[in-house]
Amino acid sequence: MTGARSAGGLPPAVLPVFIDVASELGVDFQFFNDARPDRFFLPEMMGGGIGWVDYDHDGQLDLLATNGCVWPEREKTPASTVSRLFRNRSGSGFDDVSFSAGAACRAFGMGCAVGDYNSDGFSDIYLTNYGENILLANLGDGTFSDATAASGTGDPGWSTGAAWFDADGDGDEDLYVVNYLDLTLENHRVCRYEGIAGYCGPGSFEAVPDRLFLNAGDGTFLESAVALGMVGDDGKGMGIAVLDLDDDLLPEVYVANDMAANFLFTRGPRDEVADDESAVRYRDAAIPAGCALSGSGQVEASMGIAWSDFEGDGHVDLYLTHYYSRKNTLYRNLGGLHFHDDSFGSRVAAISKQFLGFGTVALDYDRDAASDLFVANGHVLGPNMLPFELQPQILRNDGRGRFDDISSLAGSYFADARLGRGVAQADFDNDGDTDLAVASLDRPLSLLRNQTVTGRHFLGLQLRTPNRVAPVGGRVVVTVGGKSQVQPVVSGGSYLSVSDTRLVFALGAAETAGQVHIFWPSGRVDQLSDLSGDRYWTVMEGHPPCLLP
Amino acid sequence: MPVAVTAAQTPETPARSRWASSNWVSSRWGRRALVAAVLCAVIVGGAFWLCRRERVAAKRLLDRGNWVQARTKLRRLLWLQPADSELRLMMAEAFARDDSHSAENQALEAVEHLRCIPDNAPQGLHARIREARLTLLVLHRPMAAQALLNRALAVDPNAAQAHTLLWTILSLTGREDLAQPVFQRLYELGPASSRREYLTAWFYSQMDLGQITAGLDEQMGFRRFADENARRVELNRLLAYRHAEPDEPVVHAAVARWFLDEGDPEQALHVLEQGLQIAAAPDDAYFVAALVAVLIELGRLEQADELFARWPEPHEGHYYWNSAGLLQAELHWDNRAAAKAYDQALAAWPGQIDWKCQFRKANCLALAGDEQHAAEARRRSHAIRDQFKPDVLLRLRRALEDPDDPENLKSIVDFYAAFGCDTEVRYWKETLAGGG
Repeated sequence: MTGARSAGGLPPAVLPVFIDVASELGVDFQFFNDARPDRFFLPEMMGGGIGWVDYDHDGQLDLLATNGCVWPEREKTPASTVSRLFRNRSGSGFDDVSFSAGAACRAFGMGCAVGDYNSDGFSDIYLTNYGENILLANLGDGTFSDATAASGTGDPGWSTGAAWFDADGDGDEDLYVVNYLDLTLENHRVCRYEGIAGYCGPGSFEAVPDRLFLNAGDGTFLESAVALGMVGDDGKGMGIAVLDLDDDLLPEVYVANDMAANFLFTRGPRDEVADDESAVRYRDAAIPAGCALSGSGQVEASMGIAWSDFEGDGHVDLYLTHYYSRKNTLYRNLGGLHFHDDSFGSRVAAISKQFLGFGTVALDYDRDAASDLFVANGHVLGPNMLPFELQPQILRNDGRGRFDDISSLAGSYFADARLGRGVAQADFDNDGDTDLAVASLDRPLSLLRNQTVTGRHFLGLQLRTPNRVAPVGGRVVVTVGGKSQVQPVVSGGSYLSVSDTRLVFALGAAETAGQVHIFWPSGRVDQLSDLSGDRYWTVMEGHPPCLLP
Repeated sequence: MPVAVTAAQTPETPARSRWASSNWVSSRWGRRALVAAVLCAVIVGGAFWLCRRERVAAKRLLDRGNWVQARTKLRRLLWLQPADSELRLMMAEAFARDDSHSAENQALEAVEHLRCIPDNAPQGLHARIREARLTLLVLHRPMAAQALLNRALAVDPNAAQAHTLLWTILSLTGREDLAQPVFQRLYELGPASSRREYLTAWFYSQMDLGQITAGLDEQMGFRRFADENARRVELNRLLAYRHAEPDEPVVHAAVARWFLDEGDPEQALHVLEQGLQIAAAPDDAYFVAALVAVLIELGRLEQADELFARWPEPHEGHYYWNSAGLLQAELHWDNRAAAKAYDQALAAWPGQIDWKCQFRKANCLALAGDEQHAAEARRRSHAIRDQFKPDVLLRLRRALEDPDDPENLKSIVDFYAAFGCDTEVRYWKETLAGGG
C-alpha cells in the first residue's frame, strides 16, 4: 500500500524550468491592498488581476496589473499606487507606460478584461473594482481615455471577473461582469475563528447579481442580464470563462461562484437562434450539466477557472480552484453538455486539498500535447490563521488526464509560500513556450519565463474575424501524426485575469502541422495544411494564413 | 463409658446418635467437645455477624464517600470472602469513585475487582456494564468496552444500559451505520418514560453529534475548556483510543476518517498503513471501508477496486454499496451499475440522510440518459441537504425541548418525513400519543 505520497508516477522526462525575471525585465510592481491591522475588510484579500494585452498593436504582449488604493479615503492614495501598464520591448524588457498611456487608474482594483468594443482594431480594457468599474477606450495612438461614464458600464458594486464576447450575436462585443458580495464598510464585520479575529467569508454577506452589458454599437451599453436570461441564484462570482462547451460554436458562459452553485449559461441550438437579437435567450444549465456543484452535490468555493481537453477526447474540460481542505475540481466534459466531476480519478482532489487556489491556467510546459496546470495558492482568513501563505503548484498531466504535483521538481519559485492571486499565461517573448505572470498580495508581481528545454516543436495561431470580434466560441483542431489536439477560443478565465489569446499547439518531432481545422463561430470551417511549426500564424476567417510580424 | 468407648470406637455411628447419647455428653470428653463446638459456633456466628456489620459499615462508608476507609474494610472482608461478587463490586466502586488519585489507576484497580465477578453471578451483568463504562470513559479503550458490552448483552439481551453505552461507543468511533439497530432495540426495550429521551438522543447523534459528545469529551478529559475546537477535541479522543488500543483496526480507521474529513487523505492513508500491520485489519469492514474511501480520494482507483474485491463478508450495508457505486462511476464508468449500487447504499442506514450519495446517483442517472429520474434524485438530494441547514436544525432543537406542543411535534415529524425516515416518524407519534 505504500507508494509515492505526492508525485504519483515516475519523474517526468522534461522538468519544468520557470525563472522569475520580473525584476530583470523592469516589471516592478506589487499590489497594494490597504490591509490594516484588525480591520479585516474582505476586499483587501481578494485582488488582484493581470492582463496580457497588445495595446499598441506591435505584436508584443504588454502587461497590465490592477492595483488597490487607500479605502475609503481614496484621495490619500499615493500617486504611484495605480493600475500599471508595462510595455513589452520584444521580450527583452518592459517599460512602465501607465501614466503616459492613460492607464494609471486609482481605484480598489480587482480584475480586468480585454476586448475591442468599438471594433477599431485596438484592444480596450475594462477594470473591475471594489467600487465603480472603469472602461478604458484605446485611442489607437498608444493612449487610453476613460469611457466609463459614456458607455454606462461603471457598475458600482464589487466586481471581480469580466469577459468580452458577442452575447447576442449582433457582431459586436458585449461585456459580462461578475459581481461578488454586497459588502460595504457599514455592513462589514470581523469574524472569529476559535477566538482569533479574521476575514469573514462569503457566507456572511449577500450576493450581488452579475451584469451583462449589451453593446449598442454606438459606444453605449445597456444592462440586459435579465432580458437575456443570464440570471442565477445567489451568485457570489469570482472567475468567468466564455467558451463553447457543447460543440455548437456558440459560447457558453461559465461563472465560478464562491460557496454557491456555479453558473453555466447556454444558448439554444443554432437553428433555434433567430436573427432577431431579442430572441437570444440563455438558460442556466449548470445543474443538469453536472458542473454547478461537486460530484457529491456540495457547493464549492470556486475562484479560478482553467480549461483544456485534458484527456484528449476532443471535449474541453474545466478545472476550478477551491478553498483549503476542499478539493479543486476537474469537470470532465463528456459531450452533450454533460460533465463528470473527475477530481478523484484525475488525482486533482488529492493534490489540492492542502491548498487554497486562486488563479489557474492550463499550459503545456513540456509540449507533450497534454495540458498541464499551474495554480497560484494562498489563504484568505488572515495572517493570524495558519496556513496563510501557500506554495504555488505545477501539475503535470500524464496524457490521460491524470495529474501529478511536480512542484518540488520545478525550481525555487515553487518552494516559496505566497499569497497568490491572479495568474495569466502568455508567450511574452514569442519563443513558443508559455510564460506566466502571477500576482501575489505579499510579494512583487512575478514574471515567470518558461525556460524548459523540450526539443519539441510548436505551432502558434492567432485568429481574427473580419468584423474584429474575437471568435469566442470557435475552436481549432490540429492533427499531427494522427493525433488531434483541440483548443477553444476563450474569453476570460483564470482569476481576475486575461491570458494570451493566441493558441499554441504541440507538434512534437514534426516540423509542420499536418492538418489544421478552424471552426469559426459563424459556422465556417477553414482547413489548412502543412503550416510550418515554431512560429505564430495569423488566420483571418476565410483567408489564407500569414505569419505574425 | 463403655458406651462412650463403643461410640468412639465406631466412627461410622451417625452423629445424631452420638449426640443423643447422654452417656457420651456426660463424659468428660463429650463435654469438652460440646464446649468446643459451641465456641466454634459462637466464633463463626460472631465472625459472620462481624462481617455483616463490616459490610454494612463499608456500604455506609461508600455512601459517605469515605473511599479509603471503605477500601480498608472491604480488603479485610475480601480476604475472608474472595469470591464474594457483591464485595468485589463494592470494592470496584470504592476505587472508581475515588477522585483523589489518578483516575486511570483507580479505574485499573476497579476493573481488576470487576473482572473477578463472573458473568453468570447475580452481579455479572452490572459488573460487565460498569467495567465497560470504566474501560471506555477512563481507560479510553472503546473496543474492549464494546466486547464487555457484548458479554453483558449475552447475559441479558434486554439490558438497556448496555445498549445505551454500545450506542455511545459506535457514535464516538464514527460507526453510525451500526448504531441504528442498537437505537431501535433500546427504544423497544426502554420504558415508555425513557423513549422521548432516546428519541432526542437519536436526533442529536444523527444530526448534531457534537451535542452528545461534548459532555462525554469533557468527562473523559479531552475537552479542557468550553469553547475548545470540537474537531480538535475529537482528534485528541481518537488518538487516545488508538494509543490505548493499538491493535484494534477500528480505532485506526476512525483516526483516518478524521483526517479524510479534514481534507488530508495523505495523512489518512499514513494512519491506515500503520493499521495494516494488524493481522485482523483486512477482515474488518470498517477498516476496509475507510481504506477504500481514502484510496478513492487519492485517485488510486485501481488499488481501491482491488481492495474492494476483498471486502470482508457480509457484502452489504451503506458503506459497501457506496464504495461500489463510487468505483463503478469513477473507475469503470458504468453509470447504470453505479446508480444501482447507490440505490442499495441509500436503502441502508445512514443512506436515508446521505444527500451526497443521492446526488451522485442523480449524476449517474443523468449521464446514463435518464434525466427525469436524475432530476428527481437531485431534488431529493437538495431537500435532504436543506434539512441540515443551521436554521432548520435550530428550529428542531427548540422543538425537541417541548415536543408536547403539537406544533413542535409536527416540526419533528415533518423533519423526519422529509428524509423518508418512517420509523422515526412512527416512534415520535406513538411516544407522544402514549404520553412517553
